[in-house]
Amino acid sequence: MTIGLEEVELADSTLTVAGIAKYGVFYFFRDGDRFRNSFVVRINKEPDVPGGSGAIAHPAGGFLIAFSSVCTHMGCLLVQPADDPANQPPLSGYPDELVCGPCPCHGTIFDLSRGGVVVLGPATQNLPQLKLRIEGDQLIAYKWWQERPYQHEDPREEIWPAGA
Amino acid sequence: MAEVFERQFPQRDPPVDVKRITTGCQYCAVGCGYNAFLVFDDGVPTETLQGISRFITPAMTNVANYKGRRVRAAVVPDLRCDLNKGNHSVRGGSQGKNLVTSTGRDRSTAQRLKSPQVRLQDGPDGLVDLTWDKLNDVMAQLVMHAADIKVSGEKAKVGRPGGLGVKLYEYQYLENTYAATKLIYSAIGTPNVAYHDRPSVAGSSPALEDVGFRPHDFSYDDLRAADVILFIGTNPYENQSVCFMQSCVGKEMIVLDPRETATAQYALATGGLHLPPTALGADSLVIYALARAIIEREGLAEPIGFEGSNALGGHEHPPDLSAGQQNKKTQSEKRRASRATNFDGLKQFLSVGDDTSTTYTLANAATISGIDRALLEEAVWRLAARRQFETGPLRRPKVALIYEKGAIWGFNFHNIAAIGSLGLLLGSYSMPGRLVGRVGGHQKGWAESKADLKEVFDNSDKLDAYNEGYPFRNVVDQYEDKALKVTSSIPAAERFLYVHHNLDTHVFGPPPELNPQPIPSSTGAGVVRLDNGVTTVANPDVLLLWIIGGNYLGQTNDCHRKRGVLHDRRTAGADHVRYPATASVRDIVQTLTRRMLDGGLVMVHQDIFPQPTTNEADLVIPAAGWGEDTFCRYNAERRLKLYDRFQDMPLHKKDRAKLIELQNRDPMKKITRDGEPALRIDKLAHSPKPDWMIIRDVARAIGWRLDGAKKRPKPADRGPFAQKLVAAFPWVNSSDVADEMARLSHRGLAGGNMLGDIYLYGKSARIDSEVFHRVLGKKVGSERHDGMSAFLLRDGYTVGDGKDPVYGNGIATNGIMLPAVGKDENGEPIPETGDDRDGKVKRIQGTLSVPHRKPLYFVKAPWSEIESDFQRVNQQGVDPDEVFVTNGRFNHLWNNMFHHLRNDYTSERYPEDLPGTILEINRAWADARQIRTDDIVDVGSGGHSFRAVASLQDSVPEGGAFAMFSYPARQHQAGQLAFNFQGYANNITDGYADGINPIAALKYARAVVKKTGENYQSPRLPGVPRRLGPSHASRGIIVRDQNNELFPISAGFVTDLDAGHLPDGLRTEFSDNGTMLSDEARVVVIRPTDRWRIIDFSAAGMAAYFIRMIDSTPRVLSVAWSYPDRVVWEMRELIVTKGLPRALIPDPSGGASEHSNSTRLLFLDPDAFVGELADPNGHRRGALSKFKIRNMIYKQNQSTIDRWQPAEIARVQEFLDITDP
Repeated sequence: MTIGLEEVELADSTLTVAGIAKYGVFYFFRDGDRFRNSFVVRINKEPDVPGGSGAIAHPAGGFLIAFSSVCTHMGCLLVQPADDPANQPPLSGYPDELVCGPCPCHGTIFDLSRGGVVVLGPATQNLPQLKLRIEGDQLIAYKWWQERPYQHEDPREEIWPAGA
Repeated sequence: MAEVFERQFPQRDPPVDVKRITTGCQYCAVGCGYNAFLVFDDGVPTETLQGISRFITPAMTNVANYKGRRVRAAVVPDLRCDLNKGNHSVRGGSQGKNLVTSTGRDRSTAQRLKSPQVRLQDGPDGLVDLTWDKLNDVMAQLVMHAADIKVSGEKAKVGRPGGLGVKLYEYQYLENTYAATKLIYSAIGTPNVAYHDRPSVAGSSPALEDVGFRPHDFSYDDLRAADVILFIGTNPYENQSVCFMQSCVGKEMIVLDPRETATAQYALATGGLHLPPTALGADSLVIYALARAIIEREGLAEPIGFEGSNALGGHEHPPDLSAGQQNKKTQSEKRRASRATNFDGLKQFLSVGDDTSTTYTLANAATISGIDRALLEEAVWRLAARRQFETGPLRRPKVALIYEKGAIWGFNFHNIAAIGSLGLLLGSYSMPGRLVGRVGGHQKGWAESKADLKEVFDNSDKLDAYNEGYPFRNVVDQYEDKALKVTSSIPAAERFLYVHHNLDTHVFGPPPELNPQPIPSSTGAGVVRLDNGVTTVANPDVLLLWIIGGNYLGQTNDCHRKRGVLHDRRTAGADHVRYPATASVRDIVQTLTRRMLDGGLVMVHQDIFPQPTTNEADLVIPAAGWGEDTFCRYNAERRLKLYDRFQDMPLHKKDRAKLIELQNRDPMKKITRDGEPALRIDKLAHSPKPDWMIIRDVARAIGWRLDGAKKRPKPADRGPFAQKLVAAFPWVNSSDVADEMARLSHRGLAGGNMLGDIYLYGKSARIDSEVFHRVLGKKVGSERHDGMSAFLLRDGYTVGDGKDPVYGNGIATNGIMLPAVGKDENGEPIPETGDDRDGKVKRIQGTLSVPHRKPLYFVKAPWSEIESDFQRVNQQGVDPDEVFVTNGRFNHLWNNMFHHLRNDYTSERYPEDLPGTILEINRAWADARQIRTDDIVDVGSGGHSFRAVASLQDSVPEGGAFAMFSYPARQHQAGQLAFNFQGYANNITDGYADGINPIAALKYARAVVKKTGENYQSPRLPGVPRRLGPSHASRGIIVRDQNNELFPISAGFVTDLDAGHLPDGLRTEFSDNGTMLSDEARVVVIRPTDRWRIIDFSAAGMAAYFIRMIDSTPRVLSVAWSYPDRVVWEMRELIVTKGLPRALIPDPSGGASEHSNSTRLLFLDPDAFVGELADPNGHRRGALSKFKIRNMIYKQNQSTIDRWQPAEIARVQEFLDITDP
């Protein structure tokens, strides 16, 4: 089975290519309700995260991890769909590190290799991570990660009003 | 952003039963407005709070207690606060997690101090609970012994006021500091008092006040109007985050800081400058050199702003006070007489135009500080040259000069004198955009008592006893209008109040670094003179040290030595029992009094959490904190704010039952206006109390002990002194204290009002007195400061229309920005605010001093005065592992981390059992020594050391290290975390305290860093550096040789390049003084045998370099700050697509000299690096059109254009499509 991620469809959402990061392809969940404003990153190496990295193996090599793209400081989008070429993913300054940010509004930087913890900046909550699985040729994001120590509280209920 | 925000977080209806109480952030000086929302239903799920604000994170919420009831609570930044507009820092935004909670989940509550305690043996288990009654009695007797207070006729005679030493926070609310100073100043009269962060009650910036400014003259609106901000020793993105995000972003920034802090990275990514010194304490030299260069390069005939206009409200040029006025009496006047000067005097002082005098040249400043001279040249241009901003005529930039602890904690007077003088030269007078000042550490909460207790306490002869020991030299009287007059006609108590007195020498003895030499004394007392001219006691003489708030033994400078002295003093009289045998009042008092009789020291620690200092305390007193009583204080822009009570203090287990019983017995006895029963904290035997109440009760106990009573008498049985002390300390609630404080705190002008202390100027303070008295002087008997609330409810200080479901009670969180500037149509005083509401509020334009026509001076603080101290601090040892070690705060962590040692969010990043502080060291330097992130290192100097966990960072220069300030070492002991002193960076700092203004050198040290332990791994430090810009070193450096072959080099190679170790065929040339243009920009220029090339190693460095270089021509490029990589791509495309070089470097052979503008700029061959510019992914990103090129001015700035060759100008014109304006 070959999954070219460019062709992958999610169960409820269409992945839109958001941009090319230094370490992989960067996708954006554009449609659908629950995981709107989230993104998937394809990486070469599974991060070493206590409690599990949340990464799944890509059949064609590498790994996938997914996070919300809404900054937990004041709600700005960390990653934009690729429609606007001006909105490149702000990740490429860190070739050796899996970091999202700085947020274009207030500069928060999240470390995706540690479950989305805030490295610097005003956000008080880790970047929520999605759980992923692959079924057939579909990549499915099915819940927010809750059990891992770095995600000690589920932000879903309080930050993300479902279907808002 | 707003659209995203609306879509993501629509406003929803709030829960039905929600109570809103206004408060402010408890942490930094910005003082953002917050609301505490309480939902009175234990069963309500947290998401019910969603409706009260549109963006609440879990970190803002908790389960708390309010007047004995369990509530859902959220502490949320106020969208409608003028100051923060819903924005928050990571610290403020996670305050909810630091509430006192009864869920048992939160360690931060579990570890609060919950009862008075006495130490019966060493170690954490050596403390035994006391009741408040016992504690008050013990404290009263110890204070009476230490200060030798005895009944003498009708009065209590204070025989040895200096026996009591007090370390007291300056920030933790006006009510508490007023109450404390009423006891320690008005009653006892001890001079041995110091603020939390300095060994004295010294101002942070007396030198600035000599210039004629004050450090908090400006507002954030003023800052927002600046063109250029010069940050000196401050890192506001991390530490005053909201001020930075709201008022600084978008400005052109110049950052003077040894590290490439997040602020410096922001500056670089937005085309600003970073000036990194490699020596500590050369700031004054650098800043004076900038001033000299500005005068010379710009050909200034007068200070900027004075140029024939009325810009200073009619001020005339400052007169030269340097000569002929030596008969002034006050210290500030004396200081001014010898140091203040006018523009001519400044030019003379800096030797402007005198090529033979090199002290204040840029070249000398570059050599001594280690800052690249090219960067200093660039800073000169940016600070002063005429440019075009947006549209409009050419003008000089509006410059804001912002400084903080990097300048304050060190060579204080000299650093600030230079900063203030540069500000005056640049026309920065606290007008919009043009200002000098501090962004602040803590908020301001110091109100000094001026109450008259002379009928009760007689401390009049203390001067005679201490005349030699407490010399008056170097007095810094901050308040010119109340200048100290050292004459015998002034009552002794008055003199002490104004003396800035070094507590540290009286507790720990004089610092040996400063070579104390005995001097003759008429009284026979042991007096010594130090190298910096200070006279002080030879031996410590404080007997009872009362620490109120803070972690003195870990935060003062040179604290390793000081703790050794303390240990000796606490074990003085080895023959005697060291600790009381039992917790009875008799045992405690007898044992500790005996120790004092032997010359030993008794230490009391009053705080909300245990600190390592608590480990050394004989008595521990639990205090109430933020939100647990109603207080007020003001922020760095003088907003006086109400911190209302919205939660209960943590209760001792015995008190919990008693409280329920009391409330059940008589629930309606004390009902406050809001219909809630009061929490009867004064009836509780153990639980924490607000500091003012602790002071009150100790003072009252002194009263009945003076009467000879053995226990607290009932009101009817009070003796004469008991009655007097109850009358002197009568307060029932904090509103009572505020009411008295408004009348009886000193330094104000009208009727002894405290407002003179709010950094205000004379005449406006008269109006302020009225305002403040109105605000706080309306005691109506509730727990609230109803006067304040009433004032805040006046028009202009409310939000909403009264029907708003959330803001129904209408109180805003803006506070009152002081000073008031007039009266409205009803004769009501109008405070200053940031905006003009319906024309009612008139804002002061310009510095607060200017309207009052205070004279302004340049202040001379010669480098020669501190040169030897500078050399000692920076003296290079022989060990190759020696680095300079400075310290400061991290983004997430507040001060001594009373909360942040204990909450989950922090411990994810900085594990709770870190065996030491965090030491950021340069990656290349550490690599060469096999030190990795998470390794344990020992940082040693002169026999003292601290332990740290290494964190490799590119932001720290080679040869330097940066430690988290006041970070204890921690380890698990018997299932609990125990703190110790091994982590404190100030274990090794220099013992220097400024000779003019006693502030300690908390930032200066050199030490040897040795790896002592492998890889501290579980859990590890964050792997990703705290940085706002991209990594430099991780990108590596690509060099091509003359055959166009790739030649990969690492950051370490840069050093080799610098040393001239180059592969054959390559040759380097750097900037004109032989070093790299900028360590930060990491732009290295390689000259192969025949032609120039530029090699890029870092996106941000490249961008910053290009922008800087293009900017040093008269052009400013506007770029998006958050996408530095894109900027680089655009820069590259610019070069490639246009086929023209815009990387300009000073020609190393161009013969540039200090006093000429002959530096030539070389153009680079674009062909040389086309290959490197190809996008590895084949994308052509960015377009030239996105590059907004503006401000194309060149002709007018002749001094810069002179550096250009005509052909180059033509090429640039063509390239940028510029037509001659």
